[in-house]
Amino acid sequence: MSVTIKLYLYKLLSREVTISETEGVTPSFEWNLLALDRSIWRSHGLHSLETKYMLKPFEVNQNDFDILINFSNDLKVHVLAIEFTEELTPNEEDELNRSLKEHNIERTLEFINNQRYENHNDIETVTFQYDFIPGYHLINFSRDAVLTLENTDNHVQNILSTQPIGVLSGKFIPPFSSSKEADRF
Amino acid sequence: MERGFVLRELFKQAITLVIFYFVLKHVWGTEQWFNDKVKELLFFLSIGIIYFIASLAPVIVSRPVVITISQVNKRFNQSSTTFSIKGRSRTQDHERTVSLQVTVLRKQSIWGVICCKILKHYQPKIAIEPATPGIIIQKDIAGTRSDITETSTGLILDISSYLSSIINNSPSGIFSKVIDYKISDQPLNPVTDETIHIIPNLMCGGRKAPYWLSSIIRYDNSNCGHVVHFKRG
Repeated sequence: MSVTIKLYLYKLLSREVTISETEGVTPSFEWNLLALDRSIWRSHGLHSLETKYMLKPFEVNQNDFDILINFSNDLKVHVLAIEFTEELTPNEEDELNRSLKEHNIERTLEFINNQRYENHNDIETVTFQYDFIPGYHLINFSRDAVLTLENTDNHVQNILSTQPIGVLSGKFIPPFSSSKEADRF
Repeated sequence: MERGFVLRELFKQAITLVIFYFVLKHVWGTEQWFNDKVKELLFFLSIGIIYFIASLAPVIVSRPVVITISQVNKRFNQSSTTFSIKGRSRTQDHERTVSLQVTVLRKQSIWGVICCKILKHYQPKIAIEPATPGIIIQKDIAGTRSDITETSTGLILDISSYLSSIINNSPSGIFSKVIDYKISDQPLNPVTDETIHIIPNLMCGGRKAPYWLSSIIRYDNSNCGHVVHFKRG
């Protein structure tokens, strides 16, 4: 049986605020982020939380998606799927899936660049797996900062403190050298 | 440089006039035309003093730093950005990234030290926020830049230490720094068609900087507003 958790991510603006333990509210230890369970928090409740904890909604920068893909080896993630705002043609879909399957980071990034600058098509979501979670699971991060966790055994707080989440929320730049150089050695 | 030259010339002339006065007094001290000559010499001396004060005036009057700000769309190089959301598709990231440039003109002034004290005490910051609700501004690049902090709708740029180091380290010159930010929509406050201005304001301690601060730091934001044409649907 698969368990799916959908979370809204927010930036926490104030460091001093202590988050009282509320159902469906999970802070990240590492990145000044707050995750709200989408099944519990609806629009009017969100408003009050937003002012109470000084939350800022955010949109994932396209550049941060690129960083995640570029450094996926160092970040210990495995990118499974990339979805774009406009649907891809079947041919393009095949091409992208092939590059992802072969872990060809260079070709994937080139494909994204082509979509962005020639087809005016931005990344909408990225789906990936963590190397440290065994078994089948999916993590999906969308451009409007909605995190969908599937089958991750409720390790929400641990996942929120990982580097890939830090990258996508614009809190962390990987200190590694680019993957191209890493391949050479 | 030029001021030193003027001062030296004035000083030389003053000495010449004084020596000339004593020589005349010694030889023709009792004659009437000598008294007339003394009046003439005094006139030249006082003109010299006036010149001296006038040469100091710009240093006294001018403010040590002048801040000007400009904001242009990074992709199209314009002072306005069109941001449209239609279903899932929206104006692309790189087409709604705005470059904000802070230009600091450092001028020679005797108020530099006082200005540094004021900067240290009042910590002026530039708040970059939309004037009306509907959009938010977020950092374009990740990382922990210590001079930028985020607010619920925008960014705050701390310029106090930047200005202090300019004043301390350089008597004159032009400095500039650029910050890129991205315009996003406000999910909990959706608006349809609106024109929204982003106007950077000089702030002190969470509110608009007091008026008197402009007498020591000139802050010009009259032509720097960025216009966002927001469209939904």
